[in-house]
Amino acid sequence: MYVLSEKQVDYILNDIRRNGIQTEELQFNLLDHICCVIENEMSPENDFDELYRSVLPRFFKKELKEIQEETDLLLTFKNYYAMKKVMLRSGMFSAAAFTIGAILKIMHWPGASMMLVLAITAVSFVFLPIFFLVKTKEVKEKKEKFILGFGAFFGVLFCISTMFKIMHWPGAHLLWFTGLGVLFFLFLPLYLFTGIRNPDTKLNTILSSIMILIAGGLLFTLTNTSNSDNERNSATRISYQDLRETISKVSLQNDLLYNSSEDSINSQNEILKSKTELIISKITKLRNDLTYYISNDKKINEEELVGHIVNSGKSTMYLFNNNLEPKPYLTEIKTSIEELKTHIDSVYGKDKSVLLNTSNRKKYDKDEAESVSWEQAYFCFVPIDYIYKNFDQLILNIRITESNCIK
Amino acid sequence: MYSSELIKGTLKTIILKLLSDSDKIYGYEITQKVKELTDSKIVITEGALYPFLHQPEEKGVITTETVNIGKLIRKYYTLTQTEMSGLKKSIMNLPISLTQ
Repeated sequence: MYVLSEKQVDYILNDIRRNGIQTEELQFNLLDHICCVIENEMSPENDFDELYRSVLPRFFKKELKEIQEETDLLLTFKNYYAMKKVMLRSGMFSAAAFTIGAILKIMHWPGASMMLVLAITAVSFVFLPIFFLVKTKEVKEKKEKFILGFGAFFGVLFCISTMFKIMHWPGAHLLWFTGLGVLFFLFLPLYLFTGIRNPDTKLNTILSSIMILIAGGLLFTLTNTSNSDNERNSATRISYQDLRETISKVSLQNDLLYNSSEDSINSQNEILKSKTELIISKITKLRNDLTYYISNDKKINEEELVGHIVNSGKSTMYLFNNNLEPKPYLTEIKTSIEELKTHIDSVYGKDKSVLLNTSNRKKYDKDEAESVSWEQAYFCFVPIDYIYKNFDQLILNIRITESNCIK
Repeated sequence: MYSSELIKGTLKTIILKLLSDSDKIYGYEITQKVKELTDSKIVITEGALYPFLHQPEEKGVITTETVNIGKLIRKYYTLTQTEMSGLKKSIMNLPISLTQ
């Protein structure tokens, strides 16, 4: 059998490379194959060059390069399908997480924020980037690729700014406006003017642009331009501080009154004082425990929680059981107040205890006159800053009652 | 001679069948065997099998082994054990009329 010389082998390898086969493995595969064919078919009367020229066309239809292209295509398609799979799965995951998160949020159940953050993270960091990559493979023009990239970038920005808004994280406002700015002043003009030039896409581009404009406009209308979160925070903090200050002033005044009271009524006042202090210490303990629970044991104090929106489901879970009946530490406070009221009624007179009212309250969110228990009205699905306010109002009412009695 | 489209569609099956029949096999051998087994009714375009061979290699269907022959590097292909048993199972599942 004829054996090719090293020089001939080198010649074939170089020719394969020249014909557009770039992958080294493919080069050596073809080299071996071509050499085998030539060595098997070479007869003494054949010329190497001539035979090589006749063998090579058996490897392709038009040109040798097509083997390289076919290999590349198969490899990219494999990634393409894998990417589509991941895109589909992450899309389905975030759609599910988003739905569950929204339901949890509406129902004030715990876990809502976590679900929403997961959903938005999956959309912005998995779904949208892969969507962009898959779509860019389908379009040919650079301009279209650029617009797709811009669209994906805007989508990510929009998702993240929505997440910041939902979670009330700092910087939400700025991100939100950047997103809307990018949409109105960069993406939309670019999209419109690129698409409108092509007669095939003209109508669709105009329609989509109008839709985007309407959707973006609606979002802009919904945006609260007054930076309301900060204003609300500040107002809540001021009223919180005011109430605390009033309580300490009344309490100080009461101490003075106790000290100046006549000996004959002193023993009665002592009983009143101890009962009052007991209730207030119970309330203080409960609010401290609640703060500790809400801040996930991170020792964040009340002042830091005031003005920050915390899912009211969490405090409700701490103060109420699954059937929304108040837990013992809350009912205990109610019972103590009722006991104090009975005591004051008998010792100081009924007119002194009017502020200690633990009867049912009328619900404001319903048309019919439905009333709910005192505990539910003040503490069930109530935002944490309002719970603090209600506790403080309660303490203030007790202090004023105390003051009325000992005057 | 069968049409080239038909051959393209059945190329994977043909190559897997040849791999399952032999211990190890290299590219040139595959084309020769196909010619031999089909009385030259199926003639694979010599280059057509390489894109395919590059593809399943990544999935762990085929293992390869290279042998240096002078300046040449010959690549032998072998079907992995798991693929071999999977292939046999699917052949068993075929209706009898097809396997005969």
